[in-house]
Amino acid sequence: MATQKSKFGSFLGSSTLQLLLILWAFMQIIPVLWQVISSFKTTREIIVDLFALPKSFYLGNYDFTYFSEIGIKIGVYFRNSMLITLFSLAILIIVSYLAAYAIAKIRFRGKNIVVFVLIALIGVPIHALVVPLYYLISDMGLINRYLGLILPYASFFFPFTTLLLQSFFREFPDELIEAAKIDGCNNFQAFSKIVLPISMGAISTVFIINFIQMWNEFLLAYVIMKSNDSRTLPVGIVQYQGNYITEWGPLYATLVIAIIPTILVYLIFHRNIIKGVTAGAIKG
Amino acid sequence: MRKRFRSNGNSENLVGWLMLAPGLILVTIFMIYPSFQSIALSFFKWNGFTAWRFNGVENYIEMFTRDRFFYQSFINTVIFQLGATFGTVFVGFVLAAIIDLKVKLWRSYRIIFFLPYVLAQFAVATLWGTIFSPTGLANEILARIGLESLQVAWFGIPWVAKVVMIFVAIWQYSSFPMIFFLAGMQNIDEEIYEAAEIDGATKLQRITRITIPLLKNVGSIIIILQLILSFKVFTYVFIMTEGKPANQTHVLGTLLFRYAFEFQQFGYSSVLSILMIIMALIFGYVYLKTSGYSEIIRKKKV
Amino acid sequence: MKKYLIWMLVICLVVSIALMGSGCKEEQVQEEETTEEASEDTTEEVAEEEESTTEEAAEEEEFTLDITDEPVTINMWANAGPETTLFNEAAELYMAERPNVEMIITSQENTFLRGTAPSAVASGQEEMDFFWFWSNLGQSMGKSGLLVDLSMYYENLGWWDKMIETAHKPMVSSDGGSYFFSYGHTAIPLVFYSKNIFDELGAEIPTTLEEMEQIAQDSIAAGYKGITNTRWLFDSAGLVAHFMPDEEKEILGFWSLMTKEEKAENVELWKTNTGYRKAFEWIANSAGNGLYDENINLLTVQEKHTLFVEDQSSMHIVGNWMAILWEVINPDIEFGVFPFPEAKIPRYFGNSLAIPSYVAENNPEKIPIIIEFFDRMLEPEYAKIVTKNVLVSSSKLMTNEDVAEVSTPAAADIVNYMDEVGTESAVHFGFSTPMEIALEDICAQLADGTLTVDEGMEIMYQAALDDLDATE
Repeated sequence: MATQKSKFGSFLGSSTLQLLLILWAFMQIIPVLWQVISSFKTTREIIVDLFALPKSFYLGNYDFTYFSEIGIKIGVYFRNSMLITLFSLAILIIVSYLAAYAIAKIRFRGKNIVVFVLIALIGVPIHALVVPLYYLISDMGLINRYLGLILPYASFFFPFTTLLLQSFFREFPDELIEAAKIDGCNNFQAFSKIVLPISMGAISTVFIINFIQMWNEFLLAYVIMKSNDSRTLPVGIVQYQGNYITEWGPLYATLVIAIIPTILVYLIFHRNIIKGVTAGAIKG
Repeated sequence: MRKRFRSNGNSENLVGWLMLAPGLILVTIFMIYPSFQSIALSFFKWNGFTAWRFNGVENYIEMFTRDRFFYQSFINTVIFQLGATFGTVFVGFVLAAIIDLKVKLWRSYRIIFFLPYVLAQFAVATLWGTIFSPTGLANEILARIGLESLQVAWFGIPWVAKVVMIFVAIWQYSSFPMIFFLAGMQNIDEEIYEAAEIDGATKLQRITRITIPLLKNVGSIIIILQLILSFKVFTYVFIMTEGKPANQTHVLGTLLFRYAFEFQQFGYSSVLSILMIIMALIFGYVYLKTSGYSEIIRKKKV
Repeated sequence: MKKYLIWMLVICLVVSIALMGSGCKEEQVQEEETTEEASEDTTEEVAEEEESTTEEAAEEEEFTLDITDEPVTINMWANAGPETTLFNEAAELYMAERPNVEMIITSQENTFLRGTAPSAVASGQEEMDFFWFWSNLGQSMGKSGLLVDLSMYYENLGWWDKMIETAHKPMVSSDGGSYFFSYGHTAIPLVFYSKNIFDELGAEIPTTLEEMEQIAQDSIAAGYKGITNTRWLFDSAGLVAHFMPDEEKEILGFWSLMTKEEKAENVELWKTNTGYRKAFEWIANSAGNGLYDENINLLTVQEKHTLFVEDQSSMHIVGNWMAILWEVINPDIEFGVFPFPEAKIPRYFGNSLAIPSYVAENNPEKIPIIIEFFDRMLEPEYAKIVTKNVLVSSSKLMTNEDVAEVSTPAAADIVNYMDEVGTESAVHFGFSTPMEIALEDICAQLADGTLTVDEGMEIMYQAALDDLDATE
């Protein structure tokens, strides 16, 4: 790690730079902060004066039992999002892990095609395929079912995840495995006792990156989960936007609730994100 | 004998493919098969509930010659891509450069800057949509600091709307390139900088003559990656402008959505699907070449 | 390797087409071959089924609905927003009356509802038992036999007599059947005005277009912002009808109801009609004269706006939330309302309910219950709920006092006005979504000055051609 003195002594004064940084940090936080504050105002207060601090700490927007009664079941949506995301992650990680290991460590014919296909698929957006996907899942009878989202999610995030993981495996020293085998482990034991524990770091990276994307996914969830009880959080939130008026207060409150898990996950694992993101894409 | 390395692993072949199988099956069912369905559907007309009606290449002809919105939305997509990519890369680089100096609290900055990245796109879009609405924060602020004349319908003027959306993309995703550049910068040997300083280089020269060239590799990769990711733009446009005014701010994704769900012309919208898939393939190919994956694969063979 | 790839691709493509083209969609392909006969058959089948149910039920001369005592769950898809509230309230009322029935209302966002309802209905996967839709968009669903024919209920339960809006008839019907039940009123274009500003200007409620223009000019001179309106104004029958001679109205007003042949015969009228042309000219000349400002909606009206027009206004004026918001935004402003000058022709909007035919096939016991619910919607209790939340109910059984009770007195004025004017001559002036969107864009661009009237007419004509093409 380079040690730095304040080299930018004369030209841009470190205070200018500090200012820039603070400004940008300010910009990053303020909108979110504003939203949190607004969630404690009634919708009318918000419309009347955007800047005003809440007259009183209005908790009505967080009254999720009330909303439940009129059909906006935040608790249910939260649970659905959580379950779908976690199950998708489980499948995704297992499947990607195997595939990544194979790509990185095992020689087999046709690997080139596979890698090319996977890389190509990274760029395919979900919305390009949402129509045929909808009918496919409908034909499978999985509309309104968890699996109807879990399987597509696992599929769509598989290419990128696999590529991330396989770069991690490339770095993985073969000697460790060899050593274990010499000591009498068979392939499987080598795998579970040596490889698996060490790859926890990469797995958690992949976990976070995909958690964020799946938790926030909107379009497919919208199209597949049509009954109120099976909706995910992003879909549920959109309900506040009626044809004629948007209920801003409850909308912001729900967004705050929706943000919390991602922020928690982020704060706990942020170093991993950084490491993982850089490793996978650059070195290949 | 050397050449027959393949045969040394018939079982290896099998194991390899077996491990790949579950993922490939998933991807085949949920990505590749629907892609082919799209291809097939693009030669038909379908409104979602009556039968498919064969239409030959009519859909394509109509899209490329008579569609009033296609070219605009294609251009808009590209504009957004370029704007968002270079915007985020530039801002990310600048931020990384500053943080690399280990100014005070750099660690906190790094954490804060990454915050918008974890937010949901629709949440961010809704938020900024409100801020830039005619009665939103932006205009309010302008009024309060006396710049009322600058008040404008942000989303009512196409080019302004596009700039706003690019701005939002930069706001949310600058930290992504920033992280890459930081990692790269931290790999640069301190001695090079010291040597340069002894030779009398200014800070600016330091950056332009040393840092940038050394980070070229990282830079090109992150640019391609951002191009790929920004190509997928949908939520921003869908929530902030819905293609308005007068359908001039559509991007390919939202146009597809409109043709499919609002107009119920599923065959026609498939033409757009295919176009997007082809572009994804092209980007993928470019990524393959620049990121060095293909070389690694080739090396393995040898 | 490349050749291998290409071959793989070709094979996959062929297989996919084969699968999709024949396999799953077999039934639909066959249906297509005999569309006319098929839809007639299904309609007949459905009608027969209902005849037999009613035959069982109608042992006396009276027509009765045979409603089971068993527990039944009914799923409904409603448009997100106030409509969902409306149906939740109505459902509660109904469930109190029928304790064995559970009604579940699921709200669906407007655009998605439009996109996925037809396929939900066609797939037969029973995601809902009845749904909210726009009757003009759903015409083809009715014609394809996907919806239950409600004609006999209209006849036997006297719905036509209980509804104010006889204009409903052509809108809810196609090829002899009636597939939609309309619970809400037509919208006539309404103008909201600031009484404060009117008083200041000494203005009176205008009865002609010229008078309204004059008021707008005066208000601009006084430093206000004249008329503002949403883009919907110029989609309104009021303006176009004002400029359109009767013979054109007869045709273009009912465009969305025509068959393919009829449309083919008449499509040239889109090029040559005078009504749209004059309306476009009016818009082009009005913007900048205080007569058009696109970026305003009801909520952003501040004290600067003299007048604003909302075409879907009978919805807005009667929603209590609107009245409340006005008070909040500026309790010092008093708003009033008057009908758009010379808007003789009410325009049918199309908020309706429909029942997919798979309900008749798979769960026929649900039909009488849903029908009874529809019937109840015309009763004053329920009609008040409609009026309170969204728009003035279609029901004739609701008195003006009822209207005033749940909403603003102005709403009662509107109902009176419509009674006076009569609704027999109502025209639709609503089309397929592509045409509506084209019209919106044209108006916005005419107002901006980025489009000429001729170009606008050409775009409408092209859109009509596309619509003709898309008509089954």
